[in-house]
Amino acid sequence: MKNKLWKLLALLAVFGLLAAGCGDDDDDASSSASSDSASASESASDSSDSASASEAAEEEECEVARGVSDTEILFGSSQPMTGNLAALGEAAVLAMEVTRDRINDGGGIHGRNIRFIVQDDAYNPELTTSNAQYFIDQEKVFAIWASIGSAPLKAAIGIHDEGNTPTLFPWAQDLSFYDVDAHPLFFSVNPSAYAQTKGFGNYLVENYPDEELAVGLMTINSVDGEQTVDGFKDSDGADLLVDEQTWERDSTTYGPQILSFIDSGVTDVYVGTGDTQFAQFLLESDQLGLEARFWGSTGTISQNTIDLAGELSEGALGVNVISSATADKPGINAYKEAMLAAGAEDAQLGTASLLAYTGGLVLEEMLERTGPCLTVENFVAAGESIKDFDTGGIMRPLNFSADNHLGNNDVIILEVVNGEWVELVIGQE
Amino acid sequence: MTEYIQLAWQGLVSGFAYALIGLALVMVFKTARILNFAAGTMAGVTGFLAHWWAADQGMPFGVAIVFAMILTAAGTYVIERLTVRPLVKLGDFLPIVIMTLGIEVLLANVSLLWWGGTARRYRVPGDIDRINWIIGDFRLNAWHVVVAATTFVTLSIVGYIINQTELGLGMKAFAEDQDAAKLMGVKESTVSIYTWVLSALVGGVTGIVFAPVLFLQQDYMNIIFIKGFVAAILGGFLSLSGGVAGGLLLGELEAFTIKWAPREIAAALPVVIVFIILLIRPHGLFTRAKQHERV
Repeated sequence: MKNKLWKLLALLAVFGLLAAGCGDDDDDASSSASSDSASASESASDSSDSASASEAAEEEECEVARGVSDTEILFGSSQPMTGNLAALGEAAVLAMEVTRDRINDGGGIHGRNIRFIVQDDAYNPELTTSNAQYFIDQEKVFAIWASIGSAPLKAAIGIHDEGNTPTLFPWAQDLSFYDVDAHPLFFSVNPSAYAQTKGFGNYLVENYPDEELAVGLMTINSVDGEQTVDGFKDSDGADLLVDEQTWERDSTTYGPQILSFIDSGVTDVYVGTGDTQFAQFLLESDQLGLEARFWGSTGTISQNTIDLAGELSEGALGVNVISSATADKPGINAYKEAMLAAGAEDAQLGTASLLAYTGGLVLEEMLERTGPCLTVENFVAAGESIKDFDTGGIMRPLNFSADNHLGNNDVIILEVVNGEWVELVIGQE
Repeated sequence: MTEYIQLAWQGLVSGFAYALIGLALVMVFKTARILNFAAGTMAGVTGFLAHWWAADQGMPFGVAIVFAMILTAAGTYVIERLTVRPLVKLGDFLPIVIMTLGIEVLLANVSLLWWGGTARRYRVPGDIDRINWIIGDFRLNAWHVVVAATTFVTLSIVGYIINQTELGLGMKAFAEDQDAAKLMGVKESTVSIYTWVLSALVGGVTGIVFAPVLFLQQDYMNIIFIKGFVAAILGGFLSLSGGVAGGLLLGELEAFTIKWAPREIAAALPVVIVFIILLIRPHGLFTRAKQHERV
């Protein structure tokens, strides 16, 4: 009997502690708001200037967004940390850490440091959805930052929107994301898959006018893949398309597709994949004797492609939304320096980390422009006010507006020359 | 005609992987009635170990493989004794399945921590995975020949063990009737441990020979595992040769449907075909309904 009583008491004590813990969490927003107002009234009484008094009054009225305290802004990020895209997730997270450390080491933004939580989704939309719910309901984040993948984000973006949670700078390219009316809290620097193949088609026609071209498209069997095909069909090179093939995430070989391309007599193959798959595609094309120019999408532009495919990658071309991570430009050099200092391997210097890093630059600017009163509305307005934002050459200057939350809509054409991605054209429309 | 042969060969190469993993799964299920969900990841870890010893520690290629296989056998022994066996004694099926899932998660995370998420090239001596022979219009990759030969040798060794050794006799006895086998003096724990180790070695061989094909990356064997699982189901899950045949059939189905089916349904078609086969023969292509009833 005595034993049971002790157990009951212990149980009650545990519940009590849990309740106290939850209470603390729940009080976060209100305590931050009250300490905001306390510091605001102090500064108002210290100053005789009426302008500063009115600023202080504004601050006092400001009810900061969820996930924002006096000292911190909390973000969530759903990433493929396991599975065959884990390398991309790891690289993106490292770039986010670099951004976080740069901001926090510089004293934060308006006195607030940034912090983020990563949840693995293994590129599985179901997990991305549950991660979104976890971030918003449990962790109470301010925004979702730098997630990877169109299909996962497509499943989760409704939850972000409903939870009044900005979706910031993902590596996701579904056309629907860029509709500001549908997703007013979505900001990106990553042109759609549609824009990439449109740029590719236009580039082909402009640059190989004397050749008889026949194009094959190899795209993922998803909405992303469909938009990739649509982009090419809307380009100047639409008539050149002779073969369309798809691949699945669980593909173990691309042999049948490659044999089909050989049958079709393609001169150029566009492969919309990640870097590992592109390297495998190059390897199998060599095995089966497909002689063509190979074009990779954004995900293929990395050192990893070159390391894995070796000599077979020489001459491969890429259609990217961003400069090569190996280019010699101020923005790229700063990125490389920061990433390598953070312990990045060469293979992690690629599109995944560079996009996350560039998004981080814009995020920092948005937070600066928002000012101390960090509400979602102010944050969005600050983003829309950004014009000609210089990324140090990583992309063309970025422009946002109330109608356009995609800062960049041009692509960059690259080629592997002597084991390095070299830019051929910047700003192909 | 050459095109058909080329396509059939490509399908066969994928099929070898599915067949070997299918065999590894059936082996454990048939004798111990356990679905080993960690089989794919265990195979991948063997591949990583062989690569790590050769590429990072400078061991000769062959020695690194031998070391990886020895460690796989030892690791499997420990896993079976410490995690699976105690649950088998309880006689409940579900906790064992959950345990193998737990082992899968654990191994996947350990390998991610150790080797990271970046894909690596598994270099083979003389870079023979990059050598292609052209015979008329037919193209043959040298490493694919190694894959085929390894598959043949592995299947032969497994066949010999099962049909010609005392251990194999014990495995077959257990597969037929566990109670009767025990009454005949066959030691359950001995059969179980050898079956697990043999299954892990078959998986390990698959992990190593397919590493140059798929590149080494975390979870690279999971896709093969899923296909191997389908192959085992297709074969009836109680027939070793059925698991192998199921794998080869699945490889061919994939190759031919992807090549000729409309692109929107090409990837799904092999699964649909397997689904239809199972509707017609729920007990698989290579086992009798009575065998399943007994299990």
